[in-house]
Amino acid sequence: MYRMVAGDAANQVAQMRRGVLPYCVLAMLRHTEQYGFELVRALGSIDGMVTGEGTIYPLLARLRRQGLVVTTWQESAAGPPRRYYQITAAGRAALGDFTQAWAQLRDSVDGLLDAEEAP
Amino acid sequence: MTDDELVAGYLRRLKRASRRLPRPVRRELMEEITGHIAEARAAGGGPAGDDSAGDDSAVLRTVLEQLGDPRDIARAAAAGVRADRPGWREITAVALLLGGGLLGLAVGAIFSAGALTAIIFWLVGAVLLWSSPRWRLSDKILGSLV
Repeated sequence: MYRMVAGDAANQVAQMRRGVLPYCVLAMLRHTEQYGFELVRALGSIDGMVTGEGTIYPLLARLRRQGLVVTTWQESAAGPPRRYYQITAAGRAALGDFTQAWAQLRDSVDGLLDAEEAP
Repeated sequence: MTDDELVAGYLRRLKRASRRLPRPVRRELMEEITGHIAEARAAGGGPAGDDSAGDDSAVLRTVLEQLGDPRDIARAAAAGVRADRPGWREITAVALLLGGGLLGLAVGAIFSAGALTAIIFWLVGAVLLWSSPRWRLSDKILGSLV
């Protein structure tokens, strides 16, 4: 069915990154609303988090369709109005679930990897 | 090529790559990417970029490069739309819950056990409904009552 091959790890990690990205976005919106460009630039500046900034916009649109974020248009002093993203109660709940699951998974994986490294 | 032509070319490629997306999804995507380019140009390529004259084109190229291939963006959007669509489980559950009673009565009338067959159809629908990861608990309770 599936066979692990050398050099495949990078691919697997890229898939994992795609999987956790929505929750990273929710985490960034936890304390403050942000507009798209600001959010995308902040994510892009985290090492190894995103490859193409443009692919974050479809992700934001999907989070909104799922009701995890809502958007509002706000005037900007600098130019055209901006679409601001705000986390919803459902978004907070999803983030809470993920935070727990992530901590558990991280500890389990770390435990196994550390055990492998020990002499 | 002028900067505006560069932007227009990029947006044209994105528009072409995203032609299969549902209209509102495509419109929002075009809006967001257009806005992103405008914001990034106004910001001059970020806080680290200097504003020496003649660097605008270099800034713009970096902005478009960081946005990535329009086809990748369109692909990401299409994948998101696909993932939102209901799967066979949801469709079958709704069909059985709503039509199960009638269908069951019709089939069952032949074997003179209409009520029993209707109940079986409804149960299968309910099991599918409850096993679906897509619906929330409140939706599931409501669906079963209906």
